[in-house]
Amino acid sequence: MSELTAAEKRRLLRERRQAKLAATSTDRLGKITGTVGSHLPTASPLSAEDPAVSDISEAMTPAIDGSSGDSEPSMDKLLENMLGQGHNHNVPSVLPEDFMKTMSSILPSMNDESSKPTSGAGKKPSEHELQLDEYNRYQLRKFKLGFTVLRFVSVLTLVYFRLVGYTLFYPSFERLDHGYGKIDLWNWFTILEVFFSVVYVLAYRYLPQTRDNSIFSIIEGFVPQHYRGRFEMIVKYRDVVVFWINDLSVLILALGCLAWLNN
Amino acid sequence: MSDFEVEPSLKDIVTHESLKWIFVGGKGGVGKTTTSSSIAIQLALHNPEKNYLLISTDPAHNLSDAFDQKFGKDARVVDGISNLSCMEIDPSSSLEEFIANNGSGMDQNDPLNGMMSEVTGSIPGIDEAFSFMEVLKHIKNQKNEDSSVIKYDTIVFDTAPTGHTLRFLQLPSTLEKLLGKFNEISGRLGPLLNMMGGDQKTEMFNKLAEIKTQVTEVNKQFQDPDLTTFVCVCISEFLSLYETERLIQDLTKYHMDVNSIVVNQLLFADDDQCKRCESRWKMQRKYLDQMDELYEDYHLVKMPLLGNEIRGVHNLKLFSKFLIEPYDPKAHKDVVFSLEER
Repeated sequence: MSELTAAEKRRLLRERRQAKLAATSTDRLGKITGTVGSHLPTASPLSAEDPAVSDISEAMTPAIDGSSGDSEPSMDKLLENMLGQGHNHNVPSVLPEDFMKTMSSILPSMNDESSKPTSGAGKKPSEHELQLDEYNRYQLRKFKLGFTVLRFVSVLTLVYFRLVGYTLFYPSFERLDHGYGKIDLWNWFTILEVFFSVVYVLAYRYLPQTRDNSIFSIIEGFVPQHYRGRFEMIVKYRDVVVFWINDLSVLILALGCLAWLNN
Repeated sequence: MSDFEVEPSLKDIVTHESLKWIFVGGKGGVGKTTTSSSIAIQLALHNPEKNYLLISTDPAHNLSDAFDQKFGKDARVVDGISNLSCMEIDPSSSLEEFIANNGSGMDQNDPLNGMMSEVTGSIPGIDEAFSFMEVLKHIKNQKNEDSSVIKYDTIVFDTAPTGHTLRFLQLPSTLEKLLGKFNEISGRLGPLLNMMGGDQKTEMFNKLAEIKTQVTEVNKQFQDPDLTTFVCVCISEFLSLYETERLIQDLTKYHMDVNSIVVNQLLFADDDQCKRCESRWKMQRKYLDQMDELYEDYHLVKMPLLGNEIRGVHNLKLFSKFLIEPYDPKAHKDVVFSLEER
């Protein structure tokens, strides 16, 4: 039999060791403990489950002839490989092609119980989602426009019926003396606003939902999950406050115009 | 049964020219540092033209005691052996250095930096990987007095007793989870990140990809038996044998080569008059017989318990000889009491 080289001996011994360990690992520990019902655990202290470790055959170059190749890897090269990879900042950092695929495949689902696409959703929206969002925005704008027109018309109508032609009370830029009588314009205005606010709040859930790109979407990122519901409610009521301010502005403008006409 | 004799010595390791990384590990108190020091000395004596580094990653460093010479975090040549240097590094402080030195590659004031550290710390093995990377960088940056970089042909690691040093071998799969976690977190803060510019997110992912690449490369080298081997050190007692077998099984699972086992503190008291020694030797023989059966395909090196502490280069040289030339209780009995007192 021809003499085996050192490398061949190593390889043979390695294969034998691996084969024996693969076949008899539990038995070996049992042999050491000497008892079947030993109280000593056989679980590995290093890990609870087998990790996905790459096959060594992918990394190894066969060295049957005992030499590791014409040029032995130097320590410098090995250290360079371990530390130097990815440190070259001159190379544009391009992630490997399968990198994002790997990440997305192990990414846990971002969808929770809420079906509303909230701002800050993890994944990039698709073309369809963008178009749907655009359509929803259009619908929402259309609704808000119609709602605003209705409110403005209501306010102006209120001004007309409660103020125009009223002889005991008229708008003016001059300070009026007391004794000209009371007017219920403001009461009616308040009632009107409350009515419209209630209508809007009730209608809110039926309104088309869109991605909010305003400052509130940024603030939402800082809000803990527990308070998200309340935050959304505040965002909803924000619109109501805006309506009030707008209607008040229209009312003041109408009063100003009347005052100017009366002068 | 072997077709050829498996030498009960570490001659194969000492003469294995392509070996670059030698890990020496085992449960505490079995003579790990003595063995790693002995291996390093024999390597240096057998290959005077090569340069060797012995590095201790055990927070309770012993190298200075073993060689009776002060070593620190910078490599220092051993007195009397010009091609052997020693270094003592604390892996936990290396990790802190790694984080403090902006290891994440991001601005210290960046909230994402803190997030990365927090998530990073939760992945098992990541601490060991980071600290190991720092150790490797430290090795690479060792310089001579004339500022030229010192090159080492082989590095011997005197690992910490727990063996957690090598937990990073399971990192590739856990890093996948880390990357997923980052993606999830960045998704929740999507608008914020977009407001800050997409560059931050890309930079973070790039850094993680870089770490993953580095860890994969480390794994690749440590799983190559022509580059890396692990020497198990134990004593001939039940618990040590049990832990050694578990360690071997775990290392084999991670495809790290283990082909040598050093059994220390053997009494070889066949003809001893001391009853205690005779009794202990009987106990040791029982486990030695088990080892002979379990490890017939390993280089099982049986080392004697000497009469004095193995400290200092002279004593280590005497002791390390038996790693290459098996101890014969009849031929070498004089050595037992010939150690220098320190």
